[in-house]
This record gives sequence, structure tokens and C-alpha cells, in this order.
Amino acid sequence: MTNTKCLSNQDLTLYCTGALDPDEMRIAAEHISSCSDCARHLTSLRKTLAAMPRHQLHLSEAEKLQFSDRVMRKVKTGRRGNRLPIWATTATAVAAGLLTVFIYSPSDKPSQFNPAEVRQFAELDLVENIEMLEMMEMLEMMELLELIDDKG
Amino acid sequence: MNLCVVDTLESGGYALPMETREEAILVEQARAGCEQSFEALVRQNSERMIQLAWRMVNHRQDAEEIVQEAFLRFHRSLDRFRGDSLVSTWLYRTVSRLCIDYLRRERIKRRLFFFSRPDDEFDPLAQAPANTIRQDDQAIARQELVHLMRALERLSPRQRAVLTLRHQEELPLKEIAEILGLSEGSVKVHLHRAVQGLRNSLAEMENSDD
Repeated sequence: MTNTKCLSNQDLTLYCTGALDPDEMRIAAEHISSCSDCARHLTSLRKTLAAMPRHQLHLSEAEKLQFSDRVMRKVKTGRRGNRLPIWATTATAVAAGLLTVFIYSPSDKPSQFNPAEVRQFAELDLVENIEMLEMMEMLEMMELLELIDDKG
Repeated sequence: MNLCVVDTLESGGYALPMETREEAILVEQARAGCEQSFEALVRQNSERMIQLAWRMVNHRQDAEEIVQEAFLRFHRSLDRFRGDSLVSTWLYRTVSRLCIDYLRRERIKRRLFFFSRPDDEFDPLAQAPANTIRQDDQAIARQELVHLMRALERLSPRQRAVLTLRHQEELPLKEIAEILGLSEGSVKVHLHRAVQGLRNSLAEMENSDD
């Protein structure tokens, strides 16, 4: 970078943000003071950067305490959560998985704890044995006919 | 009340400056399980870290969440923290990287769901207590601020982080490179693209308003 050659866009940006080395800053400043193009470009860059707000945060002691309390609560929660050893966590996960499979898998046996399901499956059982019922009815009718014949 | 007593320091500990020595003792005590010492480290660093995150993500509440996560990670890393760097340096690096992750997630959300914060949430003047905003910031028109926030959103998370660390935190390029795990050359390129991107976006918005 010489003081006669125009600065590249990147060097101008770095100059504007004060990110060049001290020697480069001096050479750039010398050039800009004698180059209207670079000076105009620099003014535009400065305007852009000046628009950026610099939030200045001043927390009171009470606010700092409030924040640290929040962090410490999380730290304690995390520590309690981490007390479970890995094997216990794995065992719990496997048990939960098996339980899920057991609950949601299709089964021939109805649940013992749901009265509605018990009733439904009992009714189904009756429907399956309907042939037997019909046979019993036939036998009863035959018995009745025999009685009539006997009296007849 | 638990009293934390640590009467020895790692070799060379007493050659350190007073503040660093006090910090090293607090870290040692926190590592030994002393909650008060860790809490003291949180109180010492919270203001600077929340300010950094706030400058990067431009949302005060989310900034506090990010810093809280950074402290939790620090607590989990206490055993591995060797004290080669200051706690603030470690936190600076973690907060910066968490902010970049946050900005990436926000960017993806905006792209996928056309999600955008309402303009009111952009307004740093509305989000901060009056005494935390400098006089010259208050002079900036609200519309310009909304434009600026939209222009900042268009920058890549890394560009935004580099711009914040250089222009607002005034860190040397070398330090920024260390914090973000980049080369100094990459930091220069990101800084240049960030400023150019910001300038182009602002010019575009000003033209569309005319």
C-alpha cells in the first residue's frame, strides 16, 4: 500500500474500523488526505458504521444477583439431573421402550383394567360361540318335542 | 453456610496479577464444589457477557438465555478448565459461538417459515432501560434503526459476529480470530464483507423508501 495508490475496498473498511497495522494506518491516512475518491468512500463507510448502536449495559447489583440466582438454580437442577449413572439411564430408557411396545402392541388378550374393553371382548367371545348356542337351543327343542310325544 | 477454603495454588499462581490470582482462587474453590465461588464468578462476568450477546443478537432476553447457557457450560467444564486463559476469555469465546449458533437458527427459521420479529422487537431503545442507552444512540431515528436491524439480519452469522467483536467490542483482529477459530485473513475478509453488506443493504432500503 503506497500513499499514491488508491486503497482497496477491503483496506478502506479495515482503516475505517481501525483494523490495519499502525504503519498501514499512517500510510492510508496520508493517501486519504490527498484523494477525494477514497475520502468520499471512507465518509460513506463511517456513516454506515456510525448507524450501528452500541448497547451499553449497566446492571445494578440487584440485577446481577437476580441473574446469578437464575444461573445457580439451573446449575443445581443440572447437577441433580446428572446424579443418575449412565447404566441407570440406559436401563430406564430400555424399560420405557419395552413398556411402550407392550402397551401399544396388538394383543389377543383384552386388558384387565378397562371395563369397556372387557365387555367388548366378552361380547366377541359370545359371537364366536354362537354355533354352540344354536345347538343347545336345538337340544332344548328336541327335549320339548319328546315331552309332548310322551304326553301325546 | 459452606465455607470454602483453598490454601494452595498451582505453581506460579502468586506471580499473577491480583485480579487474576483472585479469579484463580475462585475457580479452584468452585471446582472443589463451592457454590458461592462459582456464583461470584457469575456476578463478576455477567454484565460484560450479556452486553456482548445483546450486541450480537440484538435481543436482550435471548442474550441473557445465551449467557446463562455459557455459564452452565463453564460449570460443566470446571474440571477441564486449566486456567491457561482468563474466565472472561473462555466465556467470550463460548458466548460468541453460542450467538453464532443462535443467529444461524434464526436465519433458518426466517428462510423456512418467513419468520421475522415484529418491528417493535427490533427497537433497542424500547428493549433497554432508558439509562442504558447512550445519548447519541437515542438521537438515531427509529426508522433508521429498523433498517439497520434488517440489514444486520442479512449478514451471515459469522460476518455479524466479526463486525460486533471489532466495531462494538473493539477487539484486535488476532483476538477475534482466536475467539472464532478463524485465521486473521478470514477475519479481515468477513469484516470487509460485513461492512459492505451493511452499506449495500442500507442504501437499498433508503432507495426503496424514496
